[in-house]
Amino acid sequence: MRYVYECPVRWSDLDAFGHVNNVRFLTLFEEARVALMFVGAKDAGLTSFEEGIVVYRHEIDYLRPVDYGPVVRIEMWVSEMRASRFTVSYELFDGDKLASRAASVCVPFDLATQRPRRLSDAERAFLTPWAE
Amino acid sequence: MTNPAEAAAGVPIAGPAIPNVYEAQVRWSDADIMGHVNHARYLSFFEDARMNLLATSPAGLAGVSGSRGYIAARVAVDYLWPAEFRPGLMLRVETMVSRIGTMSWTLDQHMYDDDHQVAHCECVLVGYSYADRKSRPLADDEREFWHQFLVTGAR
Repeated sequence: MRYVYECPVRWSDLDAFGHVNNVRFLTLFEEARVALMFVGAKDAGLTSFEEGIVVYRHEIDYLRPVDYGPVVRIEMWVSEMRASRFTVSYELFDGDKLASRAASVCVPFDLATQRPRRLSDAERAFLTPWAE
Repeated sequence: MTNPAEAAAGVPIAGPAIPNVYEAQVRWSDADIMGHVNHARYLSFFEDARMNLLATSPAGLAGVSGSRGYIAARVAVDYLWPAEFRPGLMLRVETMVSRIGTMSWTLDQHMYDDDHQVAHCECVLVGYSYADRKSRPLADDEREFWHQFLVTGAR
């Protein structure tokens, strides 16, 4: 199952070429992640992601430029789950056109001890429906 | 203040203020280490409110072919209250016009978190020809457009 998130584009996301700057794509993907991992998880009674999670790796393919418009649609799913990390994959659509594919490896992180930690059973249960 | 020249010409001086409303979505990366929405990001929210309104104006969206040029000459922001970041936070920007001149006009913008005002912004925009690199007078349809957002008592 895919999580669908519509993200508004800001004027300041555009660069001198008149399209969304490549670096800002990371921020748009981050917004989709925050919506699921923090807002969605909290609604499901899970706050442990909000208490600490870090990005281990990002990879992004840019397929076509995105112009200024009301929103972009991000489709997101969990493409891999390991003991202490999981991968979120995304597709970003501008209208009906696929503009970017990306993936982020996320690691649950204990901010107090500054150490990565294993996924809890509750976290696995929350992520499983989004696995594809 | 009543402008005698406009009054004589039968131009309505000021109507009720009808603000344009824009909902700015706050991002995770807008928060600073204090957990506040970073002050510099407020300028982007005010800008987005302006750009959306400008896109519906006769001048059109900046940079798009056929649009009439404009440029910001001044932006002043007063910070009234720190907006605390929370995922899903939307800040409401209400935009009105406080002055319409020959070449320029002034936007009066207020930002709210629910009913709590967090900031105020004054922005002077100038009609600007990018081809000639100089200011241009506002056309009648532009003046008419901005007039609908003119605050009571302003001119």
